[in-house]
Amino acid sequence: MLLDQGLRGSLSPDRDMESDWVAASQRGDNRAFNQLVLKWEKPIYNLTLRMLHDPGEAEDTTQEVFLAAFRNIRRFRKDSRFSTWLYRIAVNHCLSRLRRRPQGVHLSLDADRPEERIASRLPLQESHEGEILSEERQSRVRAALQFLQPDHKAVLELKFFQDLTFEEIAAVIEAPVSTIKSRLYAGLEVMRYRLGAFESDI
Amino acid sequence: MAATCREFRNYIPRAILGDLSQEEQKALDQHLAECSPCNREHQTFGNTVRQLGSGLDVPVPRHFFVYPEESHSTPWRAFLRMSRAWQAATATVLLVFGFASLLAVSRLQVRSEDGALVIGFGRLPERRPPAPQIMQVDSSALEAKILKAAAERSRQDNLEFLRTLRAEMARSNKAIGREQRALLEQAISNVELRMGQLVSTTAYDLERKTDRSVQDAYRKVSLERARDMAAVDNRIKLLAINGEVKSTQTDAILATLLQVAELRMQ
Ligand SMILES: [Zn+2]
Repeated sequence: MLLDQGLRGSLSPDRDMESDWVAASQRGDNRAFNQLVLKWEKPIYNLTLRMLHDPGEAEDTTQEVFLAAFRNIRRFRKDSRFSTWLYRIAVNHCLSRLRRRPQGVHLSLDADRPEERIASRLPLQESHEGEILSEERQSRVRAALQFLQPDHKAVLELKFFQDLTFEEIAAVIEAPVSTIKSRLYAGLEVMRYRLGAFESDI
Repeated sequence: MAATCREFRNYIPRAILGDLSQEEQKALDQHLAECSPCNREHQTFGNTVRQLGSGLDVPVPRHFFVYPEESHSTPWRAFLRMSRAWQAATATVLLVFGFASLLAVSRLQVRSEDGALVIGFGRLPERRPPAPQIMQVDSSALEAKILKAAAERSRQDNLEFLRTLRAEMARSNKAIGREQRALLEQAISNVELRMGQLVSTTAYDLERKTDRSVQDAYRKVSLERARDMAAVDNRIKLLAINGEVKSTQTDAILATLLQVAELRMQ
């Protein structure tokens, strides 16, 4: 798409660029904001995908997250990082969606189907044996995550998939580091029983 | 499990996340060296965390761009939200203002006089009699002519035109007087200025129009897509709850619907 190419052409991973984009977005410039979207859509979409375990819902939620961020960008203060603020919006959207779900639905619905849907949407690549193994593992990990309490899942997501530090997670969740750690270890305990028996094949 | 082992089991996940003090880490290492069950547990946790950390992100199914919402900021919508009295008052003020500015514009006169620009409403002060000249140059007619020509050409052509004009002027340097030259220069720079404004307004208008149409198309497509996806999801949930169709059939329905949705995006 033309629009796509135009935006990508001026994309740069520079943090300074990011603060420029934020400043322009705060003046209502949606093009500048869309640069931020390009930079962050992949991690945010994958966060919602792992949190919600449903590609359609993840897609809707990701769009909601960016819309909410754009509408409230004037409230974003420069003393924190943009990513922290964005992660907070994303996590809150996911948690409120998970809370709205009827109890136990995320476990009782056919757990394999969403994975098939993701796999079917992945671009076709040469199917190396390693990639198939990796896809299997990913699918196992995503399925295992669904056994966690939403609060715990959010912390695990930020720690292991988004690579945030305890302090950064505490800033996203707006809870003390001690709370973050206790959720993380509780969640990890569940993961250990779901995944510990499998080799990490790395 | 021994009491010491139970204590060390709590250390294991913390050790893997680098959340132990030096002393605690040292004590754990010592224990792991001599206790094989705890050692196995340590490996199991290591396995778990490695699997969690090895997640490759899938590509996004589409971009998640945002577009400004018209409903929030157009003056027309703001006008519609006003009470009747305010609407009437605003309309009156706007009408009066509009009429006044129309009047002002129609009586506005701009004239360049011997290298200086004279702007005024209504009648301008009488023009000073022109100094004796070697050659007669009607500067306002020249300006109008240049402007007309400039408007007819594309931007590149215009620049080329001005360049030629300047060169021509330089060549006929001796033929015209100093004041005439200044006058001509003024006229040309006026043209340049107006042309620049014209070009930038046109570019801006064009950009806005294109943007709007792209936005509209995009919004339409994503709306349709969202509806498709919602329909698909509802269908799946219904099927899962009622169990009315076998899983192979649901897969087929799903695949078709997804294909339809994907096709629309292209
Ligand atoms: Zn032990």
